[in-house]
Amino acid sequence: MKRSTAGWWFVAPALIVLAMFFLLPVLSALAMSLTDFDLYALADLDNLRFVGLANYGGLLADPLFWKALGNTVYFVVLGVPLSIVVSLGTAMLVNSKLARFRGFFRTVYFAPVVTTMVAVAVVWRYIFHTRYGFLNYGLGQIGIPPIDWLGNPATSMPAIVILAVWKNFGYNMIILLAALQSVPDDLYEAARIDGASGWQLFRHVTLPGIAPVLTLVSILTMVGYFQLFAEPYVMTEGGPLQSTLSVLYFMYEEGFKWWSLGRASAVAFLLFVLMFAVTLLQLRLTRREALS
Amino acid sequence: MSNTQLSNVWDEFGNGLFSFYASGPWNIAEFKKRLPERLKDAWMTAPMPGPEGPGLSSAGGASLVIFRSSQRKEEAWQLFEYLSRPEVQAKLYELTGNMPPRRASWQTPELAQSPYARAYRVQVERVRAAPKVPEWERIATELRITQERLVQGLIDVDEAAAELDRKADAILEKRRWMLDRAGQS
Repeated sequence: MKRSTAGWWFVAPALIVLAMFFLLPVLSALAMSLTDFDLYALADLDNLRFVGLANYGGLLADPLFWKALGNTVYFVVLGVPLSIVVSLGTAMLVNSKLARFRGFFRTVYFAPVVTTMVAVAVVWRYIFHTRYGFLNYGLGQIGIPPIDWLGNPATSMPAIVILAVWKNFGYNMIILLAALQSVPDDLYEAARIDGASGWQLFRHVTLPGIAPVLTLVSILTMVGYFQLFAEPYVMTEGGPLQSTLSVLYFMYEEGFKWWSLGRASAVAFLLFVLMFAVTLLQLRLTRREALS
Repeated sequence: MSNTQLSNVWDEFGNGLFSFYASGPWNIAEFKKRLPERLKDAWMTAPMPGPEGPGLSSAGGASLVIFRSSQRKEEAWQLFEYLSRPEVQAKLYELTGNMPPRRASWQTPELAQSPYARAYRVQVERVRAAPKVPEWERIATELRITQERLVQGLIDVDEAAAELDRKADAILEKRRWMLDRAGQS
């Protein structure tokens, strides 16, 4: 047996699994997105029509799709930086040598990640409640009139962002914590001897030290946040006025509420193309920064 | 008043946060049970309003259906006949609070004497069944979305009607194509 064939044999199990559980579904979804597969086609395949790119064209002409896309981008632009800042901030706090009960705080900050979304939603619906909510109570103490967080289209997405950041920051915190601990102490010591201030230490020692991990974390967070679904699903059902309708929620409704599976597949591919493009852009930007 | 502003419709109704609530007969028992004692006689049911006097309502709940391809049409029909008997419908009302659709079933004392049931008896005369197409649920959702935009003042009534017409037409496109094809063959 030739060496190269032996290599193929070794990777064959992985390739077969990938082909069956990734390539095949993706290809059939792509094929489905070119048809008008729906409830009627599910009952009788004679009702299936090949529509070419009409699903894609229809989506790009659908104001609701653009609204969902706009909402998702708004969520990502607001949520990802906020999430990373909070994660990094808490990671530095629990990494600080001055902090006490570090193990306890690590657990507390990580707890939201492992709690169930539905249970969390019940609590947060009360926190956001206009009349009895804890958040409005707190704001009332400093003289801010009650905000209808989930009922007003202007505040519903910020409310979802607050919830998502709270729910997810602990995960990135753990990754960033590991990165922070890998920055050698002697670098800090040398910088301090050179007279660097706290901010300069952060800017010129900490940030370059964790830069690769920060890139990874921001890409993972962005990819995750583009797939916003559970938060609006349990909190607002996409409302009010579709202000919290995300692309994935739109896809879910098309596919599993109305059974327009052809259109839903087209949504999935459009979202994939978008996420792929943004990730490439992000990688290119960070690479250029590393070179300069 | 949207559902995000209410924590619990029965309590908030008792608190006087809103003055009317469009719901079905299944809620009568809940209102009886959950409203505070002092408000026991302070509420009543009423038929739906309309532009000229009493309005229409959609027949809620479910419909009885026999599939064309069913193997047991006779038996299914017998079940329908059984379920339509006044005494069976009265029993169902007793058990579930769901009101009977047949006029004859309303003669039972529980229904004839309940003041809260009267509005529903009046309304039963003016119900319309939902259109029997699978797309209806989606059209009803579009109706709700358009209504929401109308209430928020984003569109006026004429625009809302035109938008809804266009959406419903697009939703029914596939069905039209299927009916055309069935007509040709």
